[in-house]
Amino acid sequence: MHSFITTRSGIFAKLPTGIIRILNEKIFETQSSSFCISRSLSRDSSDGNNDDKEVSNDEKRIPRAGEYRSPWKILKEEFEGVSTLKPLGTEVPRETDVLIIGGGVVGSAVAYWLKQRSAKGHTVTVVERDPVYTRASSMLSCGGIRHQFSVPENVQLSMFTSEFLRNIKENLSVIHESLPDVQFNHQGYLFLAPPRDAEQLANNVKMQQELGAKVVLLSKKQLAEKYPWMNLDGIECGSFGVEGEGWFDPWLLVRALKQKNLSLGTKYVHGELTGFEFAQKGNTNEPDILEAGVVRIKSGVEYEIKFAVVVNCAGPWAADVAEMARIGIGENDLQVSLPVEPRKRFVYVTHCPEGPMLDCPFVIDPSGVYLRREGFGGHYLCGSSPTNESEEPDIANFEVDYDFYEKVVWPGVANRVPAFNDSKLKSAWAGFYDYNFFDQNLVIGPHPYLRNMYFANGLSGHGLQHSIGVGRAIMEHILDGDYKTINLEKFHFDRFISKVPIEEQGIV
Amino acid sequence: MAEYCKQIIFTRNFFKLCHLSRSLKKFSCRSYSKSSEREKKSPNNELAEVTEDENEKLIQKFLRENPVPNPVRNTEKEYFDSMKDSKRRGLFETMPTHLTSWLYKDYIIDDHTELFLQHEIKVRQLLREDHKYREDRVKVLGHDLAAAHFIVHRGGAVKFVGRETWLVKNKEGQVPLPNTCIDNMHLEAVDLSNTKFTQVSAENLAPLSHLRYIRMHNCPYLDDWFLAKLHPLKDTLEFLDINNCPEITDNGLSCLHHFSNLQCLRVSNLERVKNIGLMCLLLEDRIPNLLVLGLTDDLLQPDHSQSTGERKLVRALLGFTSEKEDFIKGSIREKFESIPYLKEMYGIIKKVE
Repeated sequence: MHSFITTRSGIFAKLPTGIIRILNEKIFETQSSSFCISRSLSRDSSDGNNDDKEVSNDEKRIPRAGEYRSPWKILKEEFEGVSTLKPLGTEVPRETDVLIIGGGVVGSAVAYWLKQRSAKGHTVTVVERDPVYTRASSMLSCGGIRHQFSVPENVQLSMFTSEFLRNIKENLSVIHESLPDVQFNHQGYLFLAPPRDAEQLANNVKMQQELGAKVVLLSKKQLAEKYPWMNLDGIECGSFGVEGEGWFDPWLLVRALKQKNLSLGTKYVHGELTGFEFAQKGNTNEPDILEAGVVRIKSGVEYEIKFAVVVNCAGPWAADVAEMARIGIGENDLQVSLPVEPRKRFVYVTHCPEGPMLDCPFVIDPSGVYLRREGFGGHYLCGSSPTNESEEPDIANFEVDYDFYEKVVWPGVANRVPAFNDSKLKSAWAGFYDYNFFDQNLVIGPHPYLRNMYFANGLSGHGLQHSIGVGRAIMEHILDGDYKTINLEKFHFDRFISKVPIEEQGIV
Repeated sequence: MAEYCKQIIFTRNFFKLCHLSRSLKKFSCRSYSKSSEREKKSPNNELAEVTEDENEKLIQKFLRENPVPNPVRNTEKEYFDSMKDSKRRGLFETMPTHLTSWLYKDYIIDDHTELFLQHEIKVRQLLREDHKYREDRVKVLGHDLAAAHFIVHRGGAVKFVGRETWLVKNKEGQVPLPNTCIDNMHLEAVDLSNTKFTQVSAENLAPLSHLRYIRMHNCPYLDDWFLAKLHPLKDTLEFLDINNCPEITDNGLSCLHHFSNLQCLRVSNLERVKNIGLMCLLLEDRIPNLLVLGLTDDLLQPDHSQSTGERKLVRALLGFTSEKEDFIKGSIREKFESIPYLKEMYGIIKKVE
């Protein structure tokens, strides 16, 4: 097929390439069909045998921009859509300004802010391996948003996300689509504290109020008045967010972000990142630079994407992406690995007809058990984090541990809200936290050595509520070279090298 | 519409051309030269002149020492020329950026919905800016009078404690309110009907200590966030009247559980509240003295679409012919076909016919 074009290019030189391709396929039907068979065979073998896989991948890999290739080959790929009746242009662009790995809520937010700043100033490509988000942490979360953290930057990030959701109709509206709505429930979080933690809670509330968050401290008497259905044994006080806190549907937010991104010209690629390519070093003293990423799409073909900046938004699997860039397995400066790993958490749906209805906030018990209402039909979501590292569930699959509900969650909830003694477990699901086991806090900003690798990881369960703020911070650091609104410098990767953790008490 | 778009294209291209062409730049330089001559007389500018001369010498020296090929030199020269008279660089570059930013924006003009959307977004942003809580206003007038001015000026109505009349803006657009802070003037009731208030305006209402009554009819921009932001009024608010606010949903009504002193809630024509009956029953459970008005019996049934359908079916079977025909021919038929046991009965009726 290809040889035909090159040998007789004189005859067909004036025809558009798409027509040439169709002509070729008509004339050399037998050849093309045999080509297809050989291709499918090679795909089968690549699935079966590991040795064959490496060989076949090298053959199929399509190089990045900047390397010399036959122009015919490039044109052929560009016009492939003519015969398959798809839009023109290749599936994976060969170069982009910013490559974002992971198209979940954080990746989409980064892409949104980059494009929001200037839609045509730079190209943005998002690589997402699971476009229906069956494994994404944000989809499998409770969808809560709170301003009650002990680190001021976390409070500011959450407050910014609230502000963004408040004006979502201005921010994310797209033509020919209905106005976005995330179904925000304005219920607020209620943190309960035993006497020993009361002082800490009061200090936190003071700090949050100074930052402008609408949080109030309630004494035991006020709590009893406000929530007559609650058992307050062993509780000294509680903090309640009266405004801007609550929960919403994460799926609707991600969908709205994605639609907006597509309308602004972001390219979403359905594929998986398999590795990075480093730039050729001229001098040995020069630092390494990542130059291209290798993306394997569904059909098994690998594409190289050349980029200027890569943003790691891979959520629980961020450490794998970092390892591809030799972070954690290299020498000297690359010794320190990204301390992020997936941790499985369960969310249980219970039905309790006698439970609290409209005035049920997002209750967080001192024991770590949480409870929130789901809809108005007497359904509730509850769950808990394991207290010990040794009790962490296996992360190989998404199976739910129902014993955990019987042993920990149900007694905890029923102790706080006695009505839950008459409740019935309806269903449950499991999701991953992108857990930062160093200090349970955000990792953001460039890697100290690979300067064009940015992190937006380790959010440890509050990724959804910080996503928008983190996206804006990364945009500012990429385009302006510094943070303009919320200074997140202390969350940089450097703290793992200097071993200075940032303590956050409010991890649920 | 099309003509309007064409005009936009024309003016935009024209200005871009002007902006790019050197001729206009020179023209504008000339027109500015008069003012620059005047400026030269002032002593401060003499210093600048010296430095400009020095710059020129340096540039000429640089150009002599580094001769560049023809096309590049031209641009270089232009660049240095423009550097030389940095104060008078073209007509548009001296303008503030926010006035010229539209020149650089791309609008899709084939599709008028894009324009409408941009307009809608702009309107929302402007309204939000307009409705913000302003400290200077409160400093002069106090919370209550500031809120009254804020509402009456934008087309609403207010009523003070101990007075019978509602205060509204008159035909000439004058606001019948005092312009200084007066003690013991407290707002009792607020009417936001037929206005474009957004959720931000709740910040103005929140500090009011005597507010008992809020009415909102036909407010297209009021949404759940507005009701959620009214929580500081939880001990005082007694009457709330919501009618035809298309953005309010179930989640907004569920925020009302804060108002422990609420006596009466009137709801009607809320399109996006799915379970209005359930919401009102739950609110009545939660707030002891609450009376909900504006609900029909149908809406209070567990699933009102089904129950009304059943009732209609029974009436049809009993021989109310007009309704029978309506129900068979009309759009209700589709609703019946979705419920299995009613579908069977529908089949029976057809056989009878």
